[in-house]
Amino acid sequence: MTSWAGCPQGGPGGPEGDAGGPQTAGRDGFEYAFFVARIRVLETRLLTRNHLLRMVDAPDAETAFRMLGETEYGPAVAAAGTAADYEIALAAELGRVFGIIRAASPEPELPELLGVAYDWQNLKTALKASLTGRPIDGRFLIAAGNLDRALFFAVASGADGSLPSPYRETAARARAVYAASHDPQQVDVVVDGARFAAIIEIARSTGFELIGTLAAASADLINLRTVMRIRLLRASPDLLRQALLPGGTIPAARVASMVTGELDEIAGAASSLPYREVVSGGVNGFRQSGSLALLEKLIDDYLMGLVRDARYVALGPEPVIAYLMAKEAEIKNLRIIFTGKLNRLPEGTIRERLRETYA
Amino acid sequence: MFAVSTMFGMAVASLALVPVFLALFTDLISGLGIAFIGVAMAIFLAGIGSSVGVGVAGEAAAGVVAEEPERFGRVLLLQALPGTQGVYGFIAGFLALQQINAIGAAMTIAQGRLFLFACAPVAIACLVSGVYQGRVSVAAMQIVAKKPEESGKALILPALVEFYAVLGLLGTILLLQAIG
Repeated sequence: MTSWAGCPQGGPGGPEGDAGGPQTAGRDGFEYAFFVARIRVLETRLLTRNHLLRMVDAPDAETAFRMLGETEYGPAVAAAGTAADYEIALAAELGRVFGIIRAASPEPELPELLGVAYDWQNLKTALKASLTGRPIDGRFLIAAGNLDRALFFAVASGADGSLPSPYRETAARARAVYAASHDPQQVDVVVDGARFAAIIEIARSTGFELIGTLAAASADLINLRTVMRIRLLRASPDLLRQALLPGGTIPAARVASMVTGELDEIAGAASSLPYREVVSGGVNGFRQSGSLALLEKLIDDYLMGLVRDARYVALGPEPVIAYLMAKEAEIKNLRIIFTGKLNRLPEGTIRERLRETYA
Repeated sequence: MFAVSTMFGMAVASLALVPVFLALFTDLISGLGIAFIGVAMAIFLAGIGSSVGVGVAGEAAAGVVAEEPERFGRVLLLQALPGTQGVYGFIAGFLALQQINAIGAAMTIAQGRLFLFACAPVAIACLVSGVYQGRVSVAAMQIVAKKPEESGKALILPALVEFYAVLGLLGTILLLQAIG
């Protein structure tokens, strides 16, 4: 379960970007008056950093899970039952939040666009279940996409026929790639690439500039992360060619050259982009610790910083997008806490990995 | 910055300009007729400003109340603020009408034009400020939504826009007095 635009979401313009005003000419956002006011109330129910830290300090995962049940996650926690099933609670909560967005959005295009990411996510879950021969638990399919979840149950049992064409073609490609490599990660690569292309395409056609530019910049950051991963794993540069996401601002050839070039070249490639500090910080962290954890945290924090600008937008779709991203970031933090708690990681380690919150 | 609603308001306003030009540059309409056009503009343009403002603020109020019904009282006040423009337009129209009635059918075309111009400040100031006060009210309601304890501050922001509607009304009253 990742966010709508890929694992992290990216931003092009930095805080000075256009997130502070109406996105498109001719749209002044009056129709968002009801929705944004409602979102502002919902924002007050987001978990704060203190909430999260208290859960980190809980003696065990079950206690932390009970603490989560005292927040707006109550029904989701009750549905899941135990801390081991936290993923079910998180999927249920995301489904609930998305239900609100779908019901209250003045423009039907907005939830459709935001929901596309969950369709691809569900496709990935179903494909993996199908390819690895494991049965699928319906509660892991997110009830936030545009497509009926029954379609994905069919995919899990090997029948892609009733999917809309881009999904069906991607499923066929993923199955072919898996048949050749038997590597589930390659399925991720194929589906993520198709997801990005789809989101950018829809963003362009519906005029939600913010989403289009966010997706385009996350393509860059994810591509850079992929480069770092390939270097870390000393994997074949061919893998990059398949993993490269379309729609970024750094040319594909330049990204490809980074796999073999110097580490400094990676930071150099981003030197004129607003997220240069994320990249240089991440590369330095990699050089010192040999791990990508810092880069990933910096990417997430940077993107959350961009989203925070939507706090100053009174009318328009930005606060809605920001709220959904905040909710996803919160869910990501909860996942960090529960995987850490269930695996009995030290509290300090969990705390270090926590991302910035929106609230 | 132009919503469908604002554009609608502007379209209606520009339609109103047709008889105004007719009145100003031809002698087809009597002096009394020209003065009536002024009164009508003061009332309906200010009314449009208020309807747009109260309308959009009402939507935001509903959004807050949908989640937190106990904040109804606070958002109601914010919603009501852009409603004053319509009242100002009506007051100005009423005052003008009293003077017009005093002159009656004897009104010359030149006098009629004076009344038309005298009504212009309140009409235009209230049309524009009503829409923008509505926007600020929407933003202020988000303060009530997020930080209910700061509701007092939230009230001040849209109230500042009110000032210019009041100036428009004062301008019209002063001009009417000048006509005598």
